[in-house]
Order: sequence, then structure tokens, then C-alpha cells
Amino acid sequence: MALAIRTNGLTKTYKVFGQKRTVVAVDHLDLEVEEGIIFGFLGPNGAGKTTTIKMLLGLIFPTEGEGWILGKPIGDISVKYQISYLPESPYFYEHLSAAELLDFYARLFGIPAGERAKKIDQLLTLVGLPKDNKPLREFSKGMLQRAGIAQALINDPKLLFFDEPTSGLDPIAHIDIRDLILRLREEGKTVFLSSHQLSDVEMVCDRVAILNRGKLVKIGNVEELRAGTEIEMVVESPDDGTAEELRRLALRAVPQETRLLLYHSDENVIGHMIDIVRQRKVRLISVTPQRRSLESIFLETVRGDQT
Amino acid sequence: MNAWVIATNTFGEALRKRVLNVFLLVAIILIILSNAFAFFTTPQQGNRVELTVVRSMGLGVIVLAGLVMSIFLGMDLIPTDIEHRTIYTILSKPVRRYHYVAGKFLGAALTLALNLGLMGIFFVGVVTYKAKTFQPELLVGVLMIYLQFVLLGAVAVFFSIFLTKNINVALTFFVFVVGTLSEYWKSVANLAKEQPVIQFLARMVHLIVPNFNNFNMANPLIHPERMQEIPNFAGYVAKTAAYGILYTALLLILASIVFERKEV
Repeated sequence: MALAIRTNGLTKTYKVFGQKRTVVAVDHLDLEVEEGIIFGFLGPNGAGKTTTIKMLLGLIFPTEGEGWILGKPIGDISVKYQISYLPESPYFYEHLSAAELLDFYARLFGIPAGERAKKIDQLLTLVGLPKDNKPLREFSKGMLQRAGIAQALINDPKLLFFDEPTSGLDPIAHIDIRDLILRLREEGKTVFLSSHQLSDVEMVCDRVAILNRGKLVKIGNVEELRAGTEIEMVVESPDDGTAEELRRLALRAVPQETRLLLYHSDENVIGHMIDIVRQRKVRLISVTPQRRSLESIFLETVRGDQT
Repeated sequence: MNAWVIATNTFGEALRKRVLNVFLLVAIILIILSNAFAFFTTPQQGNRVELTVVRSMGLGVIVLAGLVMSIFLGMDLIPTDIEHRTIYTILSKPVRRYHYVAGKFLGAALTLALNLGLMGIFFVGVVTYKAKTFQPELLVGVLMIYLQFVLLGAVAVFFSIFLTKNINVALTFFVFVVGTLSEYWKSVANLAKEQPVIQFLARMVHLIVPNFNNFNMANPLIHPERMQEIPNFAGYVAKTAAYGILYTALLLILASIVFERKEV
């Protein structure tokens, strides 16, 4: 399978103004993304996700290392005909209507006028935007995001970079965009999806990479990563001190009205938590093994990397 | 081609900037009102002095508006795209960075042309009405003012690549003042023969900072009888225009070189 993205030791450091120290935003990143898949790029805030995307797009320059997009070195102008980018919370020229915005971007690709009009009409229908002259300054956040997605599709790209495409959207728009991403894969396109919405990533991605403090800490197919089990332990709401102790031990904890749900993949830790529950005379409701979620894998990986 | 796409979009964007529209409106009102100001002259001074007032005020308003508009456009266009992150969706498309810089500048130059052009039409109209005769030199004068501020706009665009907006405004204005005094620096260089450091500095300022004074044709335009002070009018205009265009091109090349490695 051909590679859509490959990086070799990609690194980005920033000098702190007025100081001698440097901040490492991306640290020797080696990444391979096959063509035709949806690749989830995860990490906490400040992990280096957007910095990586910006380096791949040639918006900023690596301090070290190299990268290739669709076989061409990053920054190669010819490859930009085949890629597209939807930044997080995009802001466009407010005086334009959605159709004018798409026309502007289509002209940057040199798409002929007749073809442009047809394409713009199709895309506006696809993303559900009005075809009137309403300027973007009157658009809601969801509508702007839809306009952003439409501009990212104007050149029928082979590879799409989506940075938090569903942030701030209402549930309907959220589902629409998720479905659209799945449809793009059916059309054979590669989607590089940076998102905090772990449930979305779990649902649509074939493969994920987890970045923490600029370093790649985990990469694999979603199914492979989710293999194995985690244990769910449900207890009746304990006192604050016990709850805090249990939360510290668990990978994640979900408080409910009268119960506390605790998760961990290590049986020994679960055993230790059961001991605490017994000692404090807290009622243990159930202990159930279940399939691991991407959320627990993410938390385990990021917390494990921080300790 | 992409530079033109960006230029037309920038032009459309700039036309909707309220600050510029207000400036244009005020400038046109002042140009029309210059006719009324001419009534302040005494009857003994006659039509010639009235015309001098109309010409001075009209040219002054156009210069002032051109100064503000060129700095405002030059310092604002690229940094705003960066601040708003609009630039991400442009530079991630097949747009070369120098096309982007050229397009933004061209859009600003078109906006300036429209604004100064409209002011110029009103100015020439008012003077023609007052003088009962059409003076084509006035149009050439407005063209010179335009070229002067296109050049100043290029200075602002160049600074906008690496300076904050406030510093850019101050520095571009400073360059304009220093450049307007270009002949003064030349005199200083000639006179300060015994002080080599001052002589060198004055010569460098005269050589490096664009000579905005070249574009200033106010004197012969306000007092047409002094037109003979410029022996070869057509040659002078062509030489000054070429100087402005070349200097502008040089600044854009420098801006593109710096922008090529700018992280956005």
C-alpha cells in the first residue's frame, strides 16, 4: 500500500523569546500513514498535533527531520493540488458569500469557470449551505465549519487534513460531518483527522497515533489497540476521601447519581481497589470485564507517559 | 494567475473597509468644499488666488488621504490574514508565497487607485469648474501622488512581514518623513565634508530611503506659472514614475524573500 504521509525524525523546536531555553513542540516524529484510510491523530492540548499538520502543509518549517506527502517532499507546490486542509475554527473572508468563497478557492486551483460553477453548486448541496448571497459574517459557527469543509473538497483532494472538524458543532452537524468523513474514505481518499472527540475517532478511524509532549507514544490499528479487556467496577457512592483514593487508582472514573464507575485494565489494581472498598465498607455493586475503549487507551497512554 | 486571484479578492475586501470609505467620503467633501474656502480670499486678490487655494487644498487632501490609506492598507492586509488564520487555507493550496505577497500588494494598489482616482476626478472637476479650463497636468500630479503612495504602501507591506502593526505604522510614517526630506540629506552630505561620519550617514539615508520628494509636484501645479521650473516635464514624470515602480518592485522582492521563510 502506498503511503500518503511519511515523516522521518520530524522535529520542531521554538526558542523562548528573551531566554536561552527552547521548547520542543514535535520531537523526532516517525509516522507512516497509508493511502485510503482515516488516520486519527490524538493527543492532549499542546501535544504538537497542529504543529505537525502545519509542518506537513509547509506553513511552518521543521527544525530537523523530513517528511513526504503523497511521495513528494513537504513544501512541494505540485502536491498541494492533491491535498486540502480544514483548520480548527476556520475564519474566512467575511464579505464573501459561501459560493463566492468557494469560487475564490477554486480559482486558486485554476479550475475553469464552467466547472467551478457546477462544483460549487454540488458542494453547497453536499454540506447543506445556502446558495444565496448571505455573507459569511452572518453565518453561525456550524455554517462556517460547513463552508470550511466545502473549501477543503473544492479540488477533489486525495489527502485531507482535518483539524478538529466537529468542534463547537451541534449534534446534527456533528453527525453530518462524521458521515461525510466516512464517505470520503469510501471514495478512496485519505483523511488525517486530528480530534479530541475520542468517540468519533473510535467510530471512524482505521488507525490512530497518540502524541504526547511532541512525542509519538502509541500508534496502531484501532481494532488492535482495543483488543484485550478493561474491567469496570461499580460501587455505591463512597465518601469523598474514599472516592478520591479510588479515582487516583483508576484509569478513569465516571461519577453517577448514586454510583461511581471505575475502570482499569490491570486486574491487580482492580483487586487493590476492591480491598479498599471492603475495608471502608462501601457497597460493591459489580465487577465486569469489557472491551477497551479508545478513551481508556488514550488515558492510559498519556498518563503512563507522564509518570 | 494566483496573484491576480488574491489581488481581486483583496480589492473586494478592502472596498468594504468602513474606515477607507469614510476617508474617501470626507476627502471628496473637503475637495468640493475647497471652492467655498476660496471665498475667504479678498476680491482684490482675484480668481488667480482663489484657484491657488482650491488647488492647494485639493492636493493637500489627496496627499493626506493617500498617506493614511497606503499605510493602513499596507500594514493591515497580510498580518490580518495571519491573525485570523485565513492564510492557512490559502498557503495550503497551490499558491506560491511570492504570489501571495504580490497579490495582497496588488489588491492594495488597486484599492488606492480607485480611491485616489475618485478624489482626483473630483479635484480636477472642481479646478476645471473654477478655472473654466481643463489642466491635464493636474491629472499627472494625482498620478504622481498615487505612485508615491504605492511606493509607501510597499514599504508598509515589507515591514508588515516582520513587524507588529503599531511599530509598522510608526516606522513607515518615519520613512515617509525622512524620504520626503531626501534633498535635505543630500545637502547635509555635501556640506558636512569635515565630518565624515555625518556625511556618510546622510549620504546613506539619501541613497537608501525612497525619495518621496521626487513625486511632489505641488508647487508647479498650484502655481502653473512655475511649470517652467521643470524644463522637461514629460521626461521628469517618466523618470520619477520609473523610479517609483522600480523601488516598489525591489521592496516587493525583499518582502517575498523574507516571507518565504516566515512561519505562519
